[in-house]
Amino acid sequence: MIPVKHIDPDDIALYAMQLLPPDETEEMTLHLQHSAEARRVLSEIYADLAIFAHSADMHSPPALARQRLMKHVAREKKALPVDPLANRGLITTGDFATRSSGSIFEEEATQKSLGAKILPWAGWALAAGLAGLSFTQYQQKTDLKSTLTANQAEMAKTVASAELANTLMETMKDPNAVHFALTSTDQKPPPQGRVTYVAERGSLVLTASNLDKLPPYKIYELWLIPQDGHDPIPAGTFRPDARGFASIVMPELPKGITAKTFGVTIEDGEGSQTPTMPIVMKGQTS
Amino acid sequence: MPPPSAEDDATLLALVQRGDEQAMASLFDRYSKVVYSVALRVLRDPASAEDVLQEIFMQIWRSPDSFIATRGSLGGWLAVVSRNRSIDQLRRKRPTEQVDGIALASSYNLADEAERNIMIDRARGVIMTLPHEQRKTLEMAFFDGLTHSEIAEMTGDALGTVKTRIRTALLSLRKAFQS
Repeated sequence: MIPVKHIDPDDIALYAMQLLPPDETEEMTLHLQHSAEARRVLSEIYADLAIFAHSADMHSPPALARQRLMKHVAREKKALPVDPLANRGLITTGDFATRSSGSIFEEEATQKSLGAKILPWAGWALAAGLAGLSFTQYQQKTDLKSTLTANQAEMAKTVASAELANTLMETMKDPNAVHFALTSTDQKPPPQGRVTYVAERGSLVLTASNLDKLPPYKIYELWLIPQDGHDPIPAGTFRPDARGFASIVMPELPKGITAKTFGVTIEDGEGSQTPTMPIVMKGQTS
Repeated sequence: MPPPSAEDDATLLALVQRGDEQAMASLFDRYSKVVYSVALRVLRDPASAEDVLQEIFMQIWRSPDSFIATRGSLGGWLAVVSRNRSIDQLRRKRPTEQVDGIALASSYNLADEAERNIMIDRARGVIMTLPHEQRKTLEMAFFDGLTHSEIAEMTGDALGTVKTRIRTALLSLRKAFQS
């Protein structure tokens, strides 16, 4: 007997987001199995959620993510369906083998010498040996290929990491770098930040400490205030760790923008394109 | 990186079913940004977001047939699956959502990059027009994975109000997209 119960459409949205308690989830799953209307509402809600999901700020995955996936994919190669042509070939060989071991052959064989008996089998043995050798070589080649791919991935990872470290060092040591010490008027405890910025490269490093923890839907955002009076440019978002430390390393910034100063604001969600007052930390050249 | 493939999702999934690694790479190029961005928005940690990304694409590789049923809305599905997997990871739960047999009523061809970008811009624009409480409540439910009881506790609103806000926000979103 199918239980008949009124289902609140609001609950279908919660079900789609997996936010119902287990007992209500179970009840809703049962209801969906028997109600085409409820399934239709659910599919519309999924489409709404798909739209909403696309409102997240878009970030490209790390450059090596694709390589890592393809390596994983290659490791889990699929067993392809057997080729029918190959099948046919197998049958032909089998037919031949069957016929070869049939009665006609046996009758003829009795009339042949011992050498003539052994010779055909020597051919099969040689073929089997060669097949075994080929298989071993194929396996060795596959293993070597896998090792090579793994080494190449490792090498690419190391090179990327070295490049980042190199750029980081160059930014920190560049004589043209301007340094900004960020301070707050609030003394208990005073949040502090330090920005190292090279305009011509558009490279920047921020380290900050004594930062207050923010609610989950808020985030700190660093702003580059251009000297030419243009609008502030977002220079990365960050959340402090449990000890109030945070950093931004090499955010995406346009090159050649001379900074008048830097500022930090608190924004909603994953950050904003325009700063929201007040400025919690502001910069001075040091 | 190879140029984006003109092949549709169903063709690529069929090729993946036959073990075609290049088709898998094309699907990754097409949808990895959305999957990763949604996971990053929920988890706020690039390493965890990549874990979700890898897990979802390996699921496509292992069982493309479970995604074939999504018919033309693979991009939308992957965005929702990415959110659900990320919430599961936040709650340290085993993956729970079942892709099989659930339809997604979408008329958008997210396989097309231009259409995907239009959808992203439009979604952001429409969301900004929602009343602040509705937007915030929907964000807390969808991206932070907070239950209606948790949201009610945090905001001081009644449970029914929270539920209605979520539903109304989704309906407003749909209406704005249909207009």
